[in-house]
Amino acid sequence: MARPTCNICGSSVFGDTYGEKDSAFLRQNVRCEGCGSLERHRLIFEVLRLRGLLSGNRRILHLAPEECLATLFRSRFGSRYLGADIDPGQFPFAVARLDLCRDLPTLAPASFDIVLHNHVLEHVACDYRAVAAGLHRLVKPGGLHIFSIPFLEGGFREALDEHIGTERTARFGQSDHMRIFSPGDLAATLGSVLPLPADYDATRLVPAERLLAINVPEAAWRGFNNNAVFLIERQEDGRALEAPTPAVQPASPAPRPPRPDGVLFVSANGIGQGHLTRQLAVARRLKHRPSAFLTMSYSAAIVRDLGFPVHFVPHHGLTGEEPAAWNDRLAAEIGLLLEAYHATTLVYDVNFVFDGVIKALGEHSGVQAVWIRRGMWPAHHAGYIGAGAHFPIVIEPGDYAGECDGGPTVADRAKTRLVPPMLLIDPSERTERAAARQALGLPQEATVILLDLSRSANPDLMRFHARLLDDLLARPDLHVVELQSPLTGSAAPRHPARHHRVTLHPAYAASLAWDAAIVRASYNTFHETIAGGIPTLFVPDESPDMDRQVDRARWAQARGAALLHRVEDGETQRAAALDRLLRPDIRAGLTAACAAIAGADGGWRNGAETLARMLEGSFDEGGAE
Amino acid sequence: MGIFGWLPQRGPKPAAPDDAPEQTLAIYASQPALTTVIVTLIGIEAEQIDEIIDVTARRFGKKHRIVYLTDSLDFMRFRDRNAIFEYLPSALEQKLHAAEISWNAYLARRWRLLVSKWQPVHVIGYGQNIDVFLAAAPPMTARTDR
Amino acid sequence: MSTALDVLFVADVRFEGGTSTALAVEIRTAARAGLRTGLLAIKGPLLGLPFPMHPDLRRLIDEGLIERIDPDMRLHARLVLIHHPTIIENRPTRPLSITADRLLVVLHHPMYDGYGRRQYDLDRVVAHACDAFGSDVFLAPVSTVVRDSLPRRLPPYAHMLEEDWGNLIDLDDWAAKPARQPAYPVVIGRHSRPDPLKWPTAEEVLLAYPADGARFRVRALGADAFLAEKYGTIPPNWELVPFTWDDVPAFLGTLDFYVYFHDPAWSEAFGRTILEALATGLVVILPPHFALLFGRAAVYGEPADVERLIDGFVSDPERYRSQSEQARRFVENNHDAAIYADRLARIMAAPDEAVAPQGGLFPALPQRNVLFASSNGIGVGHLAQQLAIAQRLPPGLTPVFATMSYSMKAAVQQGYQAHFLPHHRILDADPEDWNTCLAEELFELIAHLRPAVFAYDATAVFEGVTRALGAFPDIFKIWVRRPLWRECHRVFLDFSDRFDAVIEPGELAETFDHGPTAACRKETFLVPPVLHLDPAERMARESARAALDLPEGMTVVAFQLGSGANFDMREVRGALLAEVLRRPDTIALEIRSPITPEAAGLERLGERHRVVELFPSFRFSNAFDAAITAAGYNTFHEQVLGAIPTLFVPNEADEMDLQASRARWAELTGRGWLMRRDYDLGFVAAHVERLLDPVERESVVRRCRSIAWTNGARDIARYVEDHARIVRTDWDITKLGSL
Repeated sequence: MARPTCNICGSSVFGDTYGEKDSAFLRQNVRCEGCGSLERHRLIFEVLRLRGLLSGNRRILHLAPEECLATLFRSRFGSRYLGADIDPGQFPFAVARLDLCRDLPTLAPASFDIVLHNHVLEHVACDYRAVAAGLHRLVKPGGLHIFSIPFLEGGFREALDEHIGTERTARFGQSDHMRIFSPGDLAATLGSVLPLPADYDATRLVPAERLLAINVPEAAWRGFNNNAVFLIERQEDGRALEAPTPAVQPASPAPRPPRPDGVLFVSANGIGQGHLTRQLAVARRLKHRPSAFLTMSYSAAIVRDLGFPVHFVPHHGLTGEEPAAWNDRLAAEIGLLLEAYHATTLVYDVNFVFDGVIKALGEHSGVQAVWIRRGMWPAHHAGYIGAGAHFPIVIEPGDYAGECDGGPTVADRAKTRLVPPMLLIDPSERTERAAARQALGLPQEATVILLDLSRSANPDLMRFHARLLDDLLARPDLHVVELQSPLTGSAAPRHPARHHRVTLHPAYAASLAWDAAIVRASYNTFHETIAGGIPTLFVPDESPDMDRQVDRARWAQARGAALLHRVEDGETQRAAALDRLLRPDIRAGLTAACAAIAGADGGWRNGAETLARMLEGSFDEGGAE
Repeated sequence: MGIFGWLPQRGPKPAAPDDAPEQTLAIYASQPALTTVIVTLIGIEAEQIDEIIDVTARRFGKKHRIVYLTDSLDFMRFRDRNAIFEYLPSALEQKLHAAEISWNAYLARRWRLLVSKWQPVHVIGYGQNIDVFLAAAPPMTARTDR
Repeated sequence: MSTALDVLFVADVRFEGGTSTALAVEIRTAARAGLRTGLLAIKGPLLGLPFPMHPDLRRLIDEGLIERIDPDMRLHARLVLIHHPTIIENRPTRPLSITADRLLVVLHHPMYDGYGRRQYDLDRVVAHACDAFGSDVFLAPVSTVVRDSLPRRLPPYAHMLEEDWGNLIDLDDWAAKPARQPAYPVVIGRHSRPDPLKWPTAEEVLLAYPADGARFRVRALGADAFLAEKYGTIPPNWELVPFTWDDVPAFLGTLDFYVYFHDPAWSEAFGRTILEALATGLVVILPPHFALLFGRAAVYGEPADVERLIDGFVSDPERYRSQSEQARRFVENNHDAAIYADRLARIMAAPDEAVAPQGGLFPALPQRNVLFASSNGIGVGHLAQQLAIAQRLPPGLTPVFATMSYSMKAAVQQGYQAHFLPHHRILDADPEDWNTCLAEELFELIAHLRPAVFAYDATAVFEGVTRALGAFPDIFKIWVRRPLWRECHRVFLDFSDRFDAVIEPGELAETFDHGPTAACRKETFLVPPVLHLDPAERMARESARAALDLPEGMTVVAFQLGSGANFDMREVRGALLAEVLRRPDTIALEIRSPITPEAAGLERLGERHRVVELFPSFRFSNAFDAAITAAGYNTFHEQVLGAIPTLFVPNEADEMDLQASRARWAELTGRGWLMRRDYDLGFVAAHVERLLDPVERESVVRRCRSIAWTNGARDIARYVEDHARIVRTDWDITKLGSL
């Protein structure tokens, strides 16, 4: 048989792959000496060639552009070819700068015939699913999203924090990998945002003899592997993204524009991240509509990390502005953003509705206004209920402890729509215990406790947190995980081996890593706990403006689903609570009780998903009100 | 008049020969002693040319140089008799090539050039008068895209 | 009403080599894509010599793949492509009525060459392009190297095209060379225009092109004597092949390796010849600075590395095959003409429905005059040459004649407008006075005719002519100048620079020409010998004989010894006639020219001596069995190219060109015989005997027919046609002060 030849450059001389000495991905005799192509590049080129896609004026987005393909694309597609990377300087040819974690919204949706990236998704330093989904959105209907990713056995794992290179190599195969994909759970990980095939066989793309002729060895043909090429055609959606036919227009006076209508999420600077997290939960489940955020919260960074554009407006309490003027400006800001993102829906998630928001809604009467209003309000917020008049749609994310809600929202149920509890991440999306522990650098066998009370503005809680930390670390063989945030600062660990300070968002994704948790009973944490079956000691935040966390915690305690300790309780009780938490049998009981609660009513459903479907489905076709 | 500035402002009936001005276009500027007579032979039959040359040579040839102005193509008749001649395209030729040049403009200037060149003391006409000939010259007919 | 085009190519069509070939590829590809295209020819400042239009481009016009554009036309193009910035560095000297949706200037060279010398003034280029076409200018560099040489801040109205305007090649024209494993002696080669700068220095040349004949054979296309000047002796294993337009692919197919090194003084902007070599799948060895352009498609090194690099491939056939494949694939991937259609589609705006190109015929080119001026009253030579050209002009160009020749009637009879300019000798005027008048008269004529081209055919160039021409800097001025000058004519060479082009109709006897024009050959446009009438257009022998009333069975000898005005032929003519007529079966047919003086008093020597006036006599010459003629240019070439066995009796008057040389050449190459009036009068009988010998005549006929010849008149006519509708930018009209 003739020697295999590189189908891109014609060379028939091959060498070994480059890479770090201990990288998991070294292979022999597959790297083309003429152009540097690897198996996947040749496979991609062959498919493109066979399908006649190497000519005609196609718009191509090529991330981390490999020279073997980039030169040819540039010659043939000229200005329609866009090579982009986060670090353009490393390329010997002109490449545009694109940070996948932040800049995807700068590219118009459905604007490329081909989006191509090889071994990029394992490097992005943010939510890879948002990036993958964002990239997929850039493909025109009928166009191709082509990519490859590295795989290792052992389940998906990732770590976005400051792991050093050798650790990353050990865990993820290469020193600059943020994560590694695994064949077994691909459907649950990347497959949750992209329509991936269930299995992979390269001979379906290119005949076997030809694969051998272009030096794509059999080892790369079957099963998900580093040189498996995903070729996903972007389907036409039910709702056309381009200009729709007028026949299915709703009875709305304005003509439907060709761009998809955006959603603007507005939140304030409430204590903690709860509101923002719920909005993010909804935003990341939107498949077609672009999202943008306007917040007064200093936690705006978590929005950016998930790949959404975020705009920040400081509350007048911080700036000293005159409230009326500030509200006018807020209204103007909202108006600007509504226009800029072509948003036809505004989602609000704050107990208190600012005048500026009301004014903006009044000025944009065509905008659908949605109020996510969770329950458990403190009684003195009753006056805010009236603002519901400005929101045709009020969504109440369910609360497991809802039956003990005695707050003002209970009476105002007439037009609220109750949806299941909302969580940013479904419990099933979490990383498996072993992988999560490995990712966090936790020993597989030890007892690990999450202690997370300090990420709040409550000084009592923070002091309590510190004392608990001492207690816990005093017990030998116990590992403690603390979550860092901009609020907590970054002090050094108190114990070299058993004290782990991690920056992880969302932390819930790794929560199978710990055996128990000591957390507040905020809406999110509470539901993460119950739905996730995490044996937990709740220490409710009882600040006056918080929601009724103590009620939730009591409710859970009453059902044996969690332990409760209030800050004001004494030291003996604290120690006792800890002792109980550390007993495996207690923990097992807590988990079982949680499962019973979460499993009721048909099992876990995410209210964020419900709302997202509403925003993309039933609301649009029936008219706003 | 005259792109090179040498043509004087003069008409067909010049002043007496002694008044020849400086800086003229005159063909005999270096030999001012000679005077010239132009004999126009426009629309004359070729056969008559010989006779006219004979007659005019006898009449003027001793005192003046004679320059014949002809629209005939039969140059050898003049050549064989060592006669000096200038040629202007005939009315027929003008008509045939009316789309290529503006004859009325060109011939008018040509005539003035010839007069300035030869500085004739007389202009004698046989056949069609020069003024009539010039007046009958056609303007340029339309060309495409001109 | 504006004509609509898809693409208007604006270029100097005379560039040799890669620039024009690349343009031809673009044009052909655009035509194949169904686009309506036009070509506006610019006479730019770079080429001072009278280069003709590149044959590849000419062919495209002839085949109808692109329309020739006249600057008077009103046009709107979706895309105007100006090739080469230098052609618009000066303003066009006339306004244009051409508008564009998109205007591009293709930059073939970096702004600064290897020595930092500026190659073009970008500000002027942009400003003038913008003024001429009324649009913003997009700059289209052909490569990253060119792109990077441009300033960050572009001039006003200039934009940078996002993509490079890479050089393209039509792979159909460049077949892969035969697969062959190289073995010693290997064949290494190169091709380039004949320019010593394209060759390396003497110190390096033998490293790059080794003289070791046991291991290497060197073949170079586009190489000739200039190499000996540069290097001294040429090694015996070098084979030098002169430059040719055709069959470069076949030449490249004979090579194993392509090695290209050049003089450091030369800065190569791209290297289209290298692209051609790569396209055929050659293993190409280049200096390192080409790596930016060609990547892994070639291998790189210094001249000292060449032998080692070659050895590496000879000893590893698989590597040779791989590199060969890479070379061709590189061209296929990145420089295939097939990608041009997409490139144009990207660049052109979508067609505006309101001004979509109308189907149907392209409007006719506007009529333009061509003024043919000639001198002299002796013979019809110059006028005949001009008639030869005039008759081959296309319908859109109207010839007009202004001549000092008494045979002017011939032009009028052919239907052309004609003007007569009497020569000072017959006016008995002082030459200076006469020139003054001539300048004025010519000025008037030119001002009224507005010819696009002025074609002058004479040995002497009159002051009056050059003065008049000086007032019209934009007219394209051609001097058709036959060679074989006497030394005393040398002074007229000085007038060469008053003309835009000197065209030399070829001489069959060119090897005998050591006159003043021989040294200037390189600066002229050489064409094959010019004949008014093609030999194939003559009347058939039977018809001609019938027309001339010449019975079969008689040997007809034509006599054409010239008017005798300046060289008395009477005695020799009489002797030859008598000798010819001594035989009973001969007819002496004496052909008079229209300007033979009557006073010559030709007496007829009997019935078989006929006198006819024929013009052009050549049309009837199939009727002649033999001829006795002078050796003026026209007559001589007619006789030889018409294969009429002729005894040449040259007119050796001082003012004539060297007729004797022509006749000598004919005799020495067996294509005729020479008899000189002053030397050979005593041998008339022998000459005539030989002339009438059928075997001798047959030999001459055969030798004459073996000459490969095409009519130079056609080349000159095409040259005139190609220059009649140019826009000139070869001088700066802003500096046109007083004359």
